[in-house]
Amino acid sequence: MTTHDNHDDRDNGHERDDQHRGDDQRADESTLREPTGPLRSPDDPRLTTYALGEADTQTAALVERYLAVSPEARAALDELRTFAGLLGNELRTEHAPGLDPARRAALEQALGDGVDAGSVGNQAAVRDAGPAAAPNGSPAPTRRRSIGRLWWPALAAAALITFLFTSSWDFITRSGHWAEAAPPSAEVLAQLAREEALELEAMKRRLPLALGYLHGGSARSKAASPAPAAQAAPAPSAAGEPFTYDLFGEEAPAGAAGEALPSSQLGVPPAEAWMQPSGSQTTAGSAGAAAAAGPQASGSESVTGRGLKAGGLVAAVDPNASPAIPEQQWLQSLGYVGVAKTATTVDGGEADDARLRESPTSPSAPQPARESYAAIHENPFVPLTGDPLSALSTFGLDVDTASYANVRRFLNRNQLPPADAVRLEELVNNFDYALPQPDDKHPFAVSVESASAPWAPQHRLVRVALTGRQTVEAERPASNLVFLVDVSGSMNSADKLPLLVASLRLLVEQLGGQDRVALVTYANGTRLALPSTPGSERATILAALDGLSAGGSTHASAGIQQAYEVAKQGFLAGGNNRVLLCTDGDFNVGITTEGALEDFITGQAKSGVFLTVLGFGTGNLQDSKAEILADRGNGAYAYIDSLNEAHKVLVRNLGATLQTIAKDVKLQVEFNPGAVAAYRLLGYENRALAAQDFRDDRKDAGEMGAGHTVVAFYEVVPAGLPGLPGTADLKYQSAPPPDADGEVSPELLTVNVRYKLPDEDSGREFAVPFVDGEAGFSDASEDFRFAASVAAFGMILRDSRHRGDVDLERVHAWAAAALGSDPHGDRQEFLRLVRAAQGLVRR
Amino acid sequence: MLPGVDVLRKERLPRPPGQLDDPAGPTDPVHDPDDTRPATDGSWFRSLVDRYEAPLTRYASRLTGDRERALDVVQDTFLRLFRQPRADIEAQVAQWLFTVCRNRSLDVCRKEHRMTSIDELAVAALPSAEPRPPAALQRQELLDRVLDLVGRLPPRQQECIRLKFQEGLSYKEISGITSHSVSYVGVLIHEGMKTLRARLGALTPEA
Repeated sequence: MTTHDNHDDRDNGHERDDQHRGDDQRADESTLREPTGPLRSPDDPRLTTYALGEADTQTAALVERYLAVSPEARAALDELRTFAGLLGNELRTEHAPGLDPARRAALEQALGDGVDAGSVGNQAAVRDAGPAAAPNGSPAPTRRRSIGRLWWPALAAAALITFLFTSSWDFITRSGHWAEAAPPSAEVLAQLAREEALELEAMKRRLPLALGYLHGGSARSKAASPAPAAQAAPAPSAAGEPFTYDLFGEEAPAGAAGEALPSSQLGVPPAEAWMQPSGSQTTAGSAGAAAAAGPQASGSESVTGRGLKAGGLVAAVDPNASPAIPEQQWLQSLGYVGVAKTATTVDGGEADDARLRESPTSPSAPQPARESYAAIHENPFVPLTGDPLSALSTFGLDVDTASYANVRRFLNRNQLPPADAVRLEELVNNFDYALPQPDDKHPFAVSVESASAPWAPQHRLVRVALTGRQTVEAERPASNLVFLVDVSGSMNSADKLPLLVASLRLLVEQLGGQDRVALVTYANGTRLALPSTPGSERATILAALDGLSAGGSTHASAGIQQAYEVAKQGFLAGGNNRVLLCTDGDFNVGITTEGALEDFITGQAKSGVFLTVLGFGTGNLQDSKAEILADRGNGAYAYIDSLNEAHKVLVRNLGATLQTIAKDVKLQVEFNPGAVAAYRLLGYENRALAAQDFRDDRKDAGEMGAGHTVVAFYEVVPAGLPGLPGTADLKYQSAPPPDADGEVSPELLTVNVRYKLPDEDSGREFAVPFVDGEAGFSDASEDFRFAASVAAFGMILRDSRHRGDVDLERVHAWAAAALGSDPHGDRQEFLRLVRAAQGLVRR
Repeated sequence: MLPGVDVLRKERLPRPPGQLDDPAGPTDPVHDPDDTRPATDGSWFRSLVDRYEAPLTRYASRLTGDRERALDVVQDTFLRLFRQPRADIEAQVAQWLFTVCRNRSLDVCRKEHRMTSIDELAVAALPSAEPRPPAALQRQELLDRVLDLVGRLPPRQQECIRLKFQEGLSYKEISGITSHSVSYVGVLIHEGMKTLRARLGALTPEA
């Protein structure tokens, strides 16, 4: 039936033809736009537009306002109109021959034979006369294909098909005169109007495209997904509104009109499990991640490190795991070539992985680990001796939250995380705390609180907190971002590249016209997938992101150098210039020697381009490497295990992720020997600094982002106690020296903070003294108690020798009593993780 | 774009007139509402062929750089036209025709020369086949000059200028045909006119 043939031709007539647009064209378009705002010169393109009668009312108003005040512009307008007339006259007289007689005759024949079913054969013959015309195949397969290609909301599709069938019967019975059958113009136009409205809606709502297709395809997922993900997306996809697609010829992904397609056709993506906030699905979430990672990857996650209580290799079979096949279908439908069955790296990368792995190998690991964590040697109690240096605890700030997300990933899969993956400071810092805001003198405020340590009541627990200045979103300085994305074959699993794309889409939605985004991919080579584009060109950026597909091995490529190059080219003075490295662990970004890579990044950071590392996926996470690179790059390292986490890192905490308010922030706490016998810093083991490094501005330390709060706990043994276990009989420890006045100061400690403003190189410093009270743990503030319970949780996971007799039940009780308002559900999620761990920890 | 998943390909239908910020309504210059419409679709199609074969051939010749292939492209365009339901495209037939012609031309070029963007096309002036009467020599000189200068414009500017001034299409239609944004079309035409005026002014002070 010829009416169905039409769908082919409609494509040719009207599809926004991406294949005919090159990179340079997109780049050009992004830089050359008609300006906005009042006109200032006769050279404004809008004057030409107005002269040609093409200006819309808004532009016309602006132009007329300008014409009223500028005689120069009026003269220019006249010239433009005159020249336009001349140009038109001349060009229209250009010789334009028509078709030659042979072709004309062929067309005549096509017309004369009419357009019934019978004419298609003729058309085929006619087409043979014109070799350039591409045959579209016989009618029957075209018809089937056309029906198959109907991507309509189910209801509209049914209506339209019915109409076309009805009207086409007329064409069959009559011979060749379309006009005599009543053309379904009103209905078709109405349908067109509906489609038009939907297209416009789709243009305006790109975020639901990301969340919509991820949530689509299953009513179960829609029901289960609570507020955070849905907040960013107005209801359309959840409400079952027909899913729409954009204007750039992108294929709408499978799950989008999930209502229209049976799930058996495209597969319900089990990987959607990672789209659920971790709070709503535990085993199902772990099943999704497990299915995505595949049996092989799970098996290979016998990681190094101490304290792995779950027993090394984890059985891959999870009772809730979805079969891999639907996932393959889903990945295929998204266009990822070579659907991965596992998340392991291809062989080409193994040797590199071995080189990059940093953690000391544990002889007990039965199989080489693919994930690596730097060994953590827990901070011991430091007794205050006569040596002044012993009274100083110096460390650099850490605002990474990767460890918490990583721990959550393990617990969601019913595994205990390796002890080395548990960084106490990152667990505690994952949460928001209500702390005093800084004044104008310094970009952050320091507050100190103390209470008795819940796991050792005779000890004091001191919380030192830094609160970074919040910035109003409107005042956020412009960002120049370069996404450096790993598209190697190992990224080809549902919790990697698709999650990465979805996460970056969330970020892009937050950006505006003053921001710039570029996209560099690395795998088998480097590719500038998107040159630096203003953030307002959202569709272009999102199209480039969606065009990413994984494949190839990670050979050495110049990825990171190119990324920094692009960042430097688009450098915004006074803005936030940043490379965001998104990877599952392959750092084959062009510089293969570890030391050289770190040096390169350090050098780049000095030039004002910072590095943030976003980790994805399982089985290959080079956690230690990522953290080092982020540290050297004056940025942060976040691990994104779910779209919810992506939302937290890239939307909720966007200011913190994107905007550094202070760099190289170091703390030095001086303890008063008169009041303190010993102290222990919880966490920050890999941030320790020597005392003399505190004032050494060449020493790199952590960065604070806008709105960050950073918390450090000290467990303090007060002076006068019998002392540490085993030291009761020491003979040579002297009494605490009095200060100059002969009196012992009442202060417990003084916190010294040193930092640099982002564009300065010399440090600033200030000090905050603290006098301890007598508060017991239950008297402490809610935030204090919650943070302490998180620290205790971390100590249990690490099987710290300082944990005392605390157990997870008590941790749960402390945390549950300190939930507070918990607007984003983070603390509730923590409670769930505690319960999950309870099932796994032996004691 | 996606291998083997036709089911996901999007259908594109022409935009109905007057939907998008278009208070003026349909801008198809050939659609004169006062014209009595041809009684049958067949004669309507014929009238379109009469009206558009020359402009389309001219347009396609520029894009493909080859008269023969251009004629094939135009024939193909019309054959596709005949299969459209008239009511769907009647309001914007010019845009439809030029879009299809453009796409087919670029396809041909890509297939033949592995070019990927219009910028790489050989957009050259084609010689006129008719002899020039001597009386119109001066007039012809200006025309030649204009054509020559237009032919030297960057390809995108040249295409938009031709579509605008030669074929009389609106910015919106040009935007639809070429996939540029309307704003970018405006910039291209502005830049092109600026260049032309400067160069033409240098050659013919009195123009």
